[in-house]
Amino acid sequence: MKTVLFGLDGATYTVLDHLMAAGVMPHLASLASQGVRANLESTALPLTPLAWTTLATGRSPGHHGITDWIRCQRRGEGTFIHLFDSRDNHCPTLWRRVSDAGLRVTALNYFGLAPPEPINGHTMPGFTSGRHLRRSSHPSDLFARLSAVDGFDVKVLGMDFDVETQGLQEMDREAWFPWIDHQIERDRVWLEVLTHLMREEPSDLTAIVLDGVDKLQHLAYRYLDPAHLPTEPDEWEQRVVARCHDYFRMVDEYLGRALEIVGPWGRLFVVSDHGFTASQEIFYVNRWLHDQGWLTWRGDVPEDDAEACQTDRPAADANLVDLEASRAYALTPSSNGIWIDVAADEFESFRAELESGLRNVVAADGQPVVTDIKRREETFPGAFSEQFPHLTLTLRDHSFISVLNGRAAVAPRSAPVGTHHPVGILLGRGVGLRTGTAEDSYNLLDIAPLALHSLGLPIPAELEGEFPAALYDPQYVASDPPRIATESPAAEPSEAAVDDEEAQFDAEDEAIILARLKSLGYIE
Amino acid sequence: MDQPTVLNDLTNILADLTADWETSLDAPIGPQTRLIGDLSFESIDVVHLITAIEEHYGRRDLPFEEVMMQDGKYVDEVTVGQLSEFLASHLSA
Repeated sequence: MKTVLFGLDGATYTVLDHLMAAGVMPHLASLASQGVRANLESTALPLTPLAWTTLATGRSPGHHGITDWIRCQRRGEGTFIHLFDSRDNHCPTLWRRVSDAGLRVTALNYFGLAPPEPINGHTMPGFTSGRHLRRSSHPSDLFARLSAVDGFDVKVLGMDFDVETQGLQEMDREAWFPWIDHQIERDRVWLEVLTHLMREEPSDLTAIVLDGVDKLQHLAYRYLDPAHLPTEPDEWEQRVVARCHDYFRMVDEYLGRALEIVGPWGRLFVVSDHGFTASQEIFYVNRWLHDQGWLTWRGDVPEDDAEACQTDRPAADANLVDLEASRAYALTPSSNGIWIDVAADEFESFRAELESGLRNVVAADGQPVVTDIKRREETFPGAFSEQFPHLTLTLRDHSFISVLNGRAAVAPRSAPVGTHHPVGILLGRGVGLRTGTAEDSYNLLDIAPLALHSLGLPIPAELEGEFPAALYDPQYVASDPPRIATESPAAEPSEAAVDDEEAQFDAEDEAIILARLKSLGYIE
Repeated sequence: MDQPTVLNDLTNILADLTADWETSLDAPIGPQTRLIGDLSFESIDVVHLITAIEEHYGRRDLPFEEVMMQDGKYVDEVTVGQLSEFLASHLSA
């Protein structure tokens, strides 16, 4: 059955409920009232590359191997930076599995699609500079074909890292509007590509991620979450709120178009990789480690005066610390992680001392700043467990740590900014799905089983999640139960075999679905 | 692998990578071509170049930091010649 995963990076009901009630997102409101909705828990570290890869593979980060945006490798006195890409994901994706089953897939703007792997369908990667989208898309002529479509400026689809970095910290007031406009235009073109491909070259599974939701919320969360909205907004604040609403209104308009294209015979799920909340303070963890005598800066590192977690040069940030002379350090804010570098026989006692110290970090109100400390072997089990920092922190406001040098270890922010929350969203509408709010909370690991079942495919036994049966009418599930595949799929079928299987599947699938729907009274 | 072959490979990779870029280079890519000064590389482009090279040779173990870093800091410029020399020495090892 035609299935769409409509991904909103960082979407949270806290914001969306307000926007639906205000009439900004009527199509989402309709989907929520006519379909099913539930909470969707993120990965233990709610971060885009880990989370979307977990959704796409049905495997947890310790197994798929994506641990962060970047991997820092110690090289002599310095740290060499690698960006994670598709080659670092060691588990088959939904795109791969669905394609191998002879169906067609479209995956747009997802993390981890580059370098591209040949599949039956289309892939255009997210989080990729516009200069490299052409070479990173599949099939190789996709970029050129889309460029030829009237009204498509496909170069805008690429990520401008300079622009994105601006949104992670406060900007001059007038700079906000062109920055928000950039997000609106970029995601509008992604959605044009989505609806164009859904109409002209439809796939069995279509998936897109809109990362503008995340970016807008990082910068403008206090103008989106009703709990933080200014009670007496000035003229500029009113314009910011209106412009943010324009973004969500645009997304909603295309959601409506996608729902229309899917029609009554398919399913559309809206998913997020994590939720969002407000960050109210900043924890300069390397400053704190330095204060404890466990970290040595490399030279004279200036104190941050911009309430920043990092500078716009992550490679330089990773070299702020003298690793040779330090026993513990953080390299990236996104990892919320601390690496320990002590002799093996000291490790257990040092880690315990470090954990105890972290639990005793308090803010000006006397309350602990660190609310959870996760050990990598317990939190990220799997073949890639050792690629995670030894400790992953959860802060009381879910902030990311700062790797910079602060004036003090903990400082309040002058104004709240957006940060990732571990609970995101899952909504769905379509054949067999029930109406209302599901009481259970689901996990990103459950989305691959959900999508595979929706497509009529078996669920591989190695997937860690479960088919979320409670999203469906019990009668429908009884007529179309999930099938568990105990064996790994065979080697990639030939192109001809894919065509044959596709034709066969379409006919058989349609007949089975019609029979099920008739038996349940959905159709006469 | 000899350096002329590597240089030829690298030139082709760079030509494909930069095919639709606006660069200040008005001559064919050669050993003297500077990634930043002539091809307008930004740091993210270096990442993509490394990926393209790794994909071309089917290797992910090449120590690019030897040519991209000096004294623990990233270098300000790299020429095609320097890069092909580095690759030739490691691909023939």
